[in-house]
Amino acid sequence: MIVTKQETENVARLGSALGKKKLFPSIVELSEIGMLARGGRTSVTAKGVDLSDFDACFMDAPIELAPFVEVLLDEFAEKGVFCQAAPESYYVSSNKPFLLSSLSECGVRTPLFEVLPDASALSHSSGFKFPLVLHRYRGYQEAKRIVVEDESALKALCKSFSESDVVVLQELIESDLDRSLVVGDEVFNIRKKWSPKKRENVGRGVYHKLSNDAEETVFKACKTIGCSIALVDSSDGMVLEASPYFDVGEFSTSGKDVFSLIAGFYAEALK
Amino acid sequence: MKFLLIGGKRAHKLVTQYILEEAKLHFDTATFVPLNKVRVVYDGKHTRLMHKNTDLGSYDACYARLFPEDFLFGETMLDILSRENVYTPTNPEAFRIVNHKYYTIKYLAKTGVLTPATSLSIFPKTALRLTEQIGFPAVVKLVSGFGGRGVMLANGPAEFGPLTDTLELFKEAICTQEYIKNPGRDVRAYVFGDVVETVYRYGAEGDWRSNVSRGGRAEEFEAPKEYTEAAVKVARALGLDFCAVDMLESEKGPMVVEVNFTPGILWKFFGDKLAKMLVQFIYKRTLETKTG
Repeated sequence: MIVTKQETENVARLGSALGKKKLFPSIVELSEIGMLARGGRTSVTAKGVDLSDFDACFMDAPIELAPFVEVLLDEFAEKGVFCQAAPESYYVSSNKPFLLSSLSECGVRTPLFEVLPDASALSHSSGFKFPLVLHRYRGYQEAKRIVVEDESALKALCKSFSESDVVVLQELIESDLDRSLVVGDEVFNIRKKWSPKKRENVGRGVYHKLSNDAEETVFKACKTIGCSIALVDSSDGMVLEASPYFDVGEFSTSGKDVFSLIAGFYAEALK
Repeated sequence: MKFLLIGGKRAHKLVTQYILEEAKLHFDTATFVPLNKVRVVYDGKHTRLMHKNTDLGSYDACYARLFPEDFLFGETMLDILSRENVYTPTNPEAFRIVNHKYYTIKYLAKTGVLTPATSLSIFPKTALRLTEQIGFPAVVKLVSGFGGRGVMLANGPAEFGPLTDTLELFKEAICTQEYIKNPGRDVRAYVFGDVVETVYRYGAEGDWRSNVSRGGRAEEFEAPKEYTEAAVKVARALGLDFCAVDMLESEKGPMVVEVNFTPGILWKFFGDKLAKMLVQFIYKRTLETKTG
């Protein structure tokens, strides 16, 4: 089955690619799924169908649904339903401080960072180099991401933050962005140019072959979040983001049929 | 040995004082750091937990009184402390599970303790389908509410709809639970390793929830063995050395409804008793951990 927030063209294309591998998936919308724990047993159903009867699932759920998807994946894992993402993957990816901390402790290079439980802790922070990237989180949601040029701008900005906002200050890597899709033991990468003028990566991205070292870093990041298929953003060999959720269509510029590759991965995994 | 107390954003001053006073009697040093003065710093080699220039990984034991709004930072903090071999009575994985009402019940379902039928969904129609299986009246809960906040009662589908529509609007998952008839109170079991202290909690006048923080009251009570055994089983299954297990007195026996990683120590009713028990337990466990 493909579990998705809503049926899109990409979901249909993935379904078709899986069909060519004789896997013929059912499309299940997340809104239809319900979990029930009763009498010492747990079940997961959608419109009366027991989802634990499926052999495999491709999880296509946005990260903001992590509190639901994490438990759903745990249920699938317990019932032996193969999925590209481990239960903890959504949780780790949805909690940016935890993601950065986990990546760095697993030996994955990341930009220098500092996490503050709220903006009032700014006065205790350890002399960051500017410019830097500020991420503000309200719960799991990233409420703001902005490049900050100097300390006075940082202080002014933080005055407007609420007490419950977690702040991540991250070294700004002024370099091209490598957006990599890992599928099993293969990596497809598109590179987005850095614009010094706009202070961001721009354009749709073009296919770019990663170096062996960079590939190894990307695989390590994917493994850290517990995924066999995942999106990894890196810049100058440092990982910025790793997520089980991605837009497959974005990789059409890589010149590869990513849908067919994912289908092939599932066919192999289910042998 | 060095003891560290980290107080989350809602930490009560008197509770902090009780814990520190007791800790000073046992540990060589006892320090309090408010959570909003703690930072996670990655220097290119390691991720450290810092307060000013002090690496908090240098402490022997830490008790972090964290609340659900401290969750995003708290998980990372506990993970770092655990890696640095600082003894904490709460492990990061249990912290994550216990902060999720449905995940907790799902997890406990494996242990054999009684739990109320509980559902999880993200869409009101699906929530109604599941809740009709559970039966009305039903309790509607926020996945990560606490202190009775975000806990609502729906007597039937007409009351249920507006509640779940609101949760959907705020992009919250919908957790619903079987309503267990009770005599207006629940049993809270404080678990300190193998030692259990039980109290009755009564709801405030006119409130069906038994939360002391919402104007209810508490009294000591010597619970039957089945309650203390269930509480220890729950704590062990989650790997929590210290927690509070909330149970309802159902016809079938103790029904576990929630587990709290930062339970209130009910100072209005028991003074510093529970704070003392907690610190003495942390000291004993730290000593065991450090001396193997």
